[in-house]
Amino acid sequence: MHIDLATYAAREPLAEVCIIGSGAAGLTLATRLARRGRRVLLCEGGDQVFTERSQALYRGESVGDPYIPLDAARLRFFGGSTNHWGGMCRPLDAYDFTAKPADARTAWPIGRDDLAPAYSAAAEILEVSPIPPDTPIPGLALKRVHFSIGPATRLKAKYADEVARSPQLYYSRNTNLFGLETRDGRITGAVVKDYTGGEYRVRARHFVLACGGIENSRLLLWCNRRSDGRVIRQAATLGRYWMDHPHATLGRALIFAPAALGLDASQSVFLAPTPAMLATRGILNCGLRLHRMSPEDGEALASELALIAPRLGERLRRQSPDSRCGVVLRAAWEPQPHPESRIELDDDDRDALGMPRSRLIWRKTALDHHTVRECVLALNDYLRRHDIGRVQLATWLADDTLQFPEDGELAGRHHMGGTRMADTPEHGIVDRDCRVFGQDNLYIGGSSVFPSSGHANPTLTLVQLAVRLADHLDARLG
Amino acid sequence: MPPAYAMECAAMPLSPAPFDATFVSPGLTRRRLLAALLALGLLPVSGSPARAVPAKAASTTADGWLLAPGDR
Repeated sequence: MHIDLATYAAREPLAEVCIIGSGAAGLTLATRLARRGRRVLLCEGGDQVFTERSQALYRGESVGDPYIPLDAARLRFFGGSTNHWGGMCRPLDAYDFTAKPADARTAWPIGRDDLAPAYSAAAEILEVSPIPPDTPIPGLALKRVHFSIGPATRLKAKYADEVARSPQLYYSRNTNLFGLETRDGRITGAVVKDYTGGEYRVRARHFVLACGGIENSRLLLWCNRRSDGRVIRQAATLGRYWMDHPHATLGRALIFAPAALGLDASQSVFLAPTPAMLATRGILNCGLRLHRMSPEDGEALASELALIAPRLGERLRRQSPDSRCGVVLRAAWEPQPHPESRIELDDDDRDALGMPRSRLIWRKTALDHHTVRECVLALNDYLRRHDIGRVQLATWLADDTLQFPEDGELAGRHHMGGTRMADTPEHGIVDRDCRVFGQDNLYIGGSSVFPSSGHANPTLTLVQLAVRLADHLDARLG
Repeated sequence: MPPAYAMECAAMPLSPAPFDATFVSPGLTRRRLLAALLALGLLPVSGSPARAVPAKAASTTADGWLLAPGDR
């Protein structure tokens, strides 16, 4: 049910779970707990629809590699960024949870088996289609992988009625977290603000912060400062190991035998390295995307290639244009988790509520460059060895300098890390149950807990984590 | 997960040594990166031509085409 915050707070009720944020993680948690009879307080900083007043709180500075404006990369109202997401889903690979040979910091404290029981529920929430198993391609170090594409489920539309009608779910909009009170390793209350100067205190047995992969870090950094470091006692990694999936065009290719890669039946084909390739080439995970060109563009590419390579051109002239195709090579890859990529508080710029804005420092690394280049070279190796195609590298990959494109899509708007999951508080902010180290009743929901990202879009995994967290909280409440 | 990948995953060696490259900087070239990777044992010393040949190999044209011997 919708509540008036002032009236609710005046009664000083004790919710069983207070959830901050009504995006994919927050709505999953709130609805699942309320259905089990749990008394839930759900606080959304925005309104039911987009408002400039709320969205403006997402403005921030980016001072690292070129990045999407922070207030354009996410949405701050009921449903969160599921109001504009693209709906691509794929679970992380089992080896994404392990310490990869190229960088052991990719390890999670949990494995894919720990998330497996939450898969069907998460797939139902996001309306994920059955995803075919990965397919080896003989002779190629990359395998063919698949995604569920669409329908981009809008959780606002899916859950608005349930949230409005549930007698167990107290929903307060325009309610912004501004502080956490703590005593003896427990959160005793949350300070929330509306936009009219009202400041209130809400109580709960458990609190979950589920505000997205940038805001979780920002809010915890701020709440920790306000509490003189008592919310997060070991905060060395707070805000750090921040990640997004870099996106870039890697080049083009002319494929003489499209069927070998499945391009005869599909407009786009996705490839990814096998675990063996991760080890032998010293790379992280990568989604290599082959997008078929129009026949006209494909033939223009063939003509260009024939001019540069006349003897190959002779062969191409004898081949029917219908039997080949041009492709654009793109990639979305697993970034190296690194402490210097981080969210900070910008003390020179505060939002309308008085909280320092986010400052993002995101930097891709030499391993990022190596990862994506090795993947396209593996494809080239296969095409040349079987004489079924040629690759043209984009300038930034062909050069001997380690540069990245500075325009174009840049990244997937997949905000991850900052409050990473770890075995010990020296290495992360939350434990394997998404509980903040040193706090008995404070949890984090969302992709900010990812220690590493694989190459798959993160929403399915973060909803799996939310389903698992709902089970955990329900069990703890008894 | 298909059993073949499960087996591959189980067989994957886990290195305790993290890749400790710095962020990309103008002074860090592919050659120096590859040298660092080789020193860490993260790249095979021998391998397919695609792995062994650096970007500016003779088969790479000025506009980035990776040609095979005999293409020209």
